[in-house]
Amino acid sequence: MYRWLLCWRYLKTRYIALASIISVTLGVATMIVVNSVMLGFTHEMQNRLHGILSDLIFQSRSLEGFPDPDWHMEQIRRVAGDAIEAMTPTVVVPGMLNYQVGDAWMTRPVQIIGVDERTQAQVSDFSKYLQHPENRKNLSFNLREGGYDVIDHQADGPSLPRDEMALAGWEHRRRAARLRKMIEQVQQEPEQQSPSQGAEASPFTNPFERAQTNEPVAAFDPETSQYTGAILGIGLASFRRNGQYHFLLLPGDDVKLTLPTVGTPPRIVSDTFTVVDFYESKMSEYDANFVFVPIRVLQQLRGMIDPSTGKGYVNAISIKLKPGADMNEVRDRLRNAFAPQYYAIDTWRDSQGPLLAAVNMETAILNVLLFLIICVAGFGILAIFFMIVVEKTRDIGILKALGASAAGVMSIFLGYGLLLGVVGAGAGLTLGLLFVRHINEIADLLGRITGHRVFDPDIYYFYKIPTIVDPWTVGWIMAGAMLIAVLASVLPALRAARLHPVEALRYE
Amino acid sequence: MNKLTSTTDGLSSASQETGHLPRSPNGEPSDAHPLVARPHFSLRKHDGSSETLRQSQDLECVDEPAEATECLLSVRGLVKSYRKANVEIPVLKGVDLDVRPGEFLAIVGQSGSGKSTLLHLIGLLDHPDQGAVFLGGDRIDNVPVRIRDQLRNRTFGMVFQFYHLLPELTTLENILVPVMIGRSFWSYWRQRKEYRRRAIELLELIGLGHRLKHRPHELSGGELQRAAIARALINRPQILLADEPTGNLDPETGAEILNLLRTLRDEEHLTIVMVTHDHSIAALADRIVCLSGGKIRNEAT
Repeated sequence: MYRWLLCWRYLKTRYIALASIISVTLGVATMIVVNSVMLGFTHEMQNRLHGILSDLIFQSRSLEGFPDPDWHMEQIRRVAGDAIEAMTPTVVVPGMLNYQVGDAWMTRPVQIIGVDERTQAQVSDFSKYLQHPENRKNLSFNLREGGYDVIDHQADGPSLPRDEMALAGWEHRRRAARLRKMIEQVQQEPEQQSPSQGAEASPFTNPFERAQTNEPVAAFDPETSQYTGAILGIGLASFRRNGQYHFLLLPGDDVKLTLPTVGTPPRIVSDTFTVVDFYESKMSEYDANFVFVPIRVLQQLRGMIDPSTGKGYVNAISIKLKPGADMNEVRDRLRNAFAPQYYAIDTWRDSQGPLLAAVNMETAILNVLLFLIICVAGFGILAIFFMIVVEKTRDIGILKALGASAAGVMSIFLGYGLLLGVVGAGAGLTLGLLFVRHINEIADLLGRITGHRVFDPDIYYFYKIPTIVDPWTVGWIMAGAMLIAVLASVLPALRAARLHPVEALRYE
Repeated sequence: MNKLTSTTDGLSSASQETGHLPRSPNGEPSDAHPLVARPHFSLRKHDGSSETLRQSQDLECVDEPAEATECLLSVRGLVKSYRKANVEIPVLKGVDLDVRPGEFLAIVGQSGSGKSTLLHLIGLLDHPDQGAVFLGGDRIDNVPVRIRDQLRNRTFGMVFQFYHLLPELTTLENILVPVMIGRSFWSYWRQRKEYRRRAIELLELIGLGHRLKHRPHELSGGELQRAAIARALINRPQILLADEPTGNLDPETGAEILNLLRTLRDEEHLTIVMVTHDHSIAALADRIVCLSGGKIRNEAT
């Protein structure tokens, strides 16, 4: 009883000891904040990756692909049908994207993905990342009349404006075609009107979309018809500057795709496509790389269709598993069933292994470093406790003279250490949770003070800092901090316990 | 008693009302060592104690206390020296002393004569180099640590020259510290009201009833020493050991404290051993022994 009474009184009267646990508090708070933010980011990133990639990817090791996806899907179902919810074949091929901005042609390296518009949405979050509400419900490679999102539908708060998207669609296409005709007329009679005047004449002029292509296509009226639809990663068609999206292209514009055919050596083929939507997964690596086109068109273009059977080759089959199915177990079953020299079968985690491992490694290293901060705080406690024991030497002598055992005296200081740890960790917990809760406001405030945005949505695709507080992590951090406080008080407590009562009483 | 009444107001009325302080119904825990538990004597049949006696007989310089049944506390051939910078300074060179139950004994000696050391050895705060301390005929200077702690807690009450109250605690809490030390958390918590009542009665008896919530730094020297006496008595010890209890007080206050000790000796059935260098203070005791040159030199009454 006297131990707790004295601990409590020491806690209330020794402010210097409270100073020593400020570093415990800060360490705990920082660890909670860092872990929450890292976990939030990891979670967000994994969700995205998973949404982009589907659970399992059954891939050909060759760009040529494998024939007859229906037969393969049947085989896959035979091996692991009980765990499979949906499958879709895809063709993946590296290629080049060309489009005209003003008078200049832009060329971008891309990954061209042929998708089956009926089944693609079943295996991944593909359709969630599209910009037209109808396409999100029902994927189509036909250009929509209009109604593309002008605000980011994935943001749950304020987002960067993308006003130009209001123009996108058939309306834009018709306007661009009319403008192109006018320019052609002007070019035929250059003495009457200069092109720039013609551009200014139109009230809807967008400096990036003055002219698309001069190639006349026989019996093709761009005002009423479109080429094959293509969905571009939003990073290919836009850039972000000064807190706003700027588009180089809009749905309704035409682009050229160039890609190698199958066969050795491959030939280069090229075709014109009409942009019908943008794909925004918020993983810049994908958004600046992916171009989705209908799988059948891509197969024809690449010569992947077997003329005798009419069946196409594919590169990969994306598989979505039923909820609760063990991804790794299904992968292993499939790996055993298919020849490994031809097929690479990976889970989405396998294919993103290095990235996920890097994030985990980062979190682990941060935790080690921050825990070292708390350990440093432990030495502060140790030093201050030694001082307190020296200062309390006479009191310790009195307690021993009154019959307190060595263990009793020791437990005063151990208890004091524990109490300091509890107070420090508790304050750290409160501080950390408050910080996490208001992290966006704090980031804004810091940005305003320093004039430098801490969390710049131009760079990160999230508008808010994602945070997840894991109770177990918090529990471990608290336990660790308290343990360190107790460990730091062991030495001073031992010293106190070993004090000789007579010498302690004589101490002045 | 008359003198006490005249010097400390309110004390006599309080003590008259309460008479003998009420004994708490089960103040003694069952796990107390036989040496610690009351009654004072007839402890030899219990475990351990007869063994300690046999050990004491092996010591050459130690005689069995002559009148064990009469003496509550006996000291035989105590030798103690301190080591300072590798030089051994002998302090006690064979002290023999007997204290009868209910006696108020004053040990007088000059500064550095070793009287505090003797008191520490009796109170089990230190180990003698040679010799033995007997309580009711049983040797107590070589008992296990746990029993030493219990004896210090229950059997001896200690009063120091510099009061030694804990500065973080109020007067009442300071007085309750020995009770808390001697009992487990729960056993204290269950009977805390009982203990509190006893502490308040004790404080009223010694005239500090109005100072319950004050911290030590808010009290005067006389009040501090009264509080220290109350703390020494809270566990109803058999023996009160007082180390220069008036050393830091003016003569009047010192005399008051001495009278208080005498009163308490009567009311609480105490045996008091006091060391002092002040002969006028010592004169108020029943018996005076003189310590010089590391030995008891003469006795006077």
